[in-house]
Amino acid sequence: MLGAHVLALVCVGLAVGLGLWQHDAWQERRSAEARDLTEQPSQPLDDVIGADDPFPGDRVGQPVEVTGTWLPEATVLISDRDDAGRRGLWVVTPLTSGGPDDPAIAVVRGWIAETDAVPPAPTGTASVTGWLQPPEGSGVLDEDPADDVYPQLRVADLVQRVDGDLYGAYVVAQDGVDGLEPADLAALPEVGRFTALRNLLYAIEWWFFGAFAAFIWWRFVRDEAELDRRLAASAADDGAPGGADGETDAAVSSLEA
Amino acid sequence: MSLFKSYRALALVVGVLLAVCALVAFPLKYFVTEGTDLQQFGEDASILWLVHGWIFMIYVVVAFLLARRAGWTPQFTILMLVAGLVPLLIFWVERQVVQRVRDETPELA
Repeated sequence: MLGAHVLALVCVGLAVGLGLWQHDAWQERRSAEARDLTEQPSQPLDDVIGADDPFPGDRVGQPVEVTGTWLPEATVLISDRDDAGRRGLWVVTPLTSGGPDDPAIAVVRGWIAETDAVPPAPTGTASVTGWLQPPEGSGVLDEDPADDVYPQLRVADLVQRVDGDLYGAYVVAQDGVDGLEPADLAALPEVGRFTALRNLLYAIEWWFFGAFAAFIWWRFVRDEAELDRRLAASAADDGAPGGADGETDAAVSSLEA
Repeated sequence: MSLFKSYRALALVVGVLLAVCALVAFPLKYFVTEGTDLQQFGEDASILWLVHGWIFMIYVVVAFLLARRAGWTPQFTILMLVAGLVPLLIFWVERQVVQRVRDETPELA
């Protein structure tokens, strides 16, 4: 009897707790997604991230200004990038931040439809404003490692093409450099837009099971109480004529009948 | 649709979903090299866990009502509910339920 109550409490508590956990995860992800920095005023790159710093997770999409020298020989293309529904490529050239020998950051100059439409890489110095993005890299295989086309924008791939240091981030130029069509931020691979919703649905599920366990528990308690009441009532009925010894009375009355 | 028929249909759906999730999607997602098509498929198919969970909610209610109406023991009722969480168990339990209903309470069938 006590065991049943404990079991019910554990089940309800567990379900409510797991539901709260999923609900918190849902809210956390939503608030993280809601922090849209893309309309903020731009800041100098080195105010947001240093060359050797890990990527500041709360600055995704922050507009930054980079002023320095292009490294045209390190230009690469990133495949499978959508622009308004069309599949194309990103054109990426590193730009140093400061002098020609300072650390460089990969800049997405713009979007092109085909590999033969690559415009010549810019040379000399430039100042670019763009959105700061964390480097990609979830292990997508490069089908042809020998060419200039990569499936993802990874610092590790670019490092081999640059003499100096690279930032652990990249910048998507707000206006296409040299008349290139600007790369769309929405062309970024999806970051699990449904994950947040999934957490909420799981939370509801857990609370439902908690409520169901509580319901069964309540029924159980009610049935037990009902049973007790009926036992007591029948004992009282039987016990009324002959005192406490109801059993004997019942036996006698059944004999008489 | 009678309670019994609903139970059988739900048991089939829950059983298939759970088998796909636990025996296909789960191993593909976690034990296949990351970045391959198979692994991606496993990851995408994992959304079925959610579908399973929601249909299981309905299953729990229907199974509970059926067990009460048929007057089965709490032990067998709990077995019916837990069967929706242990891969493949539900197929066996469903056959037990069919057997019991036909033997004991054919009017529910």
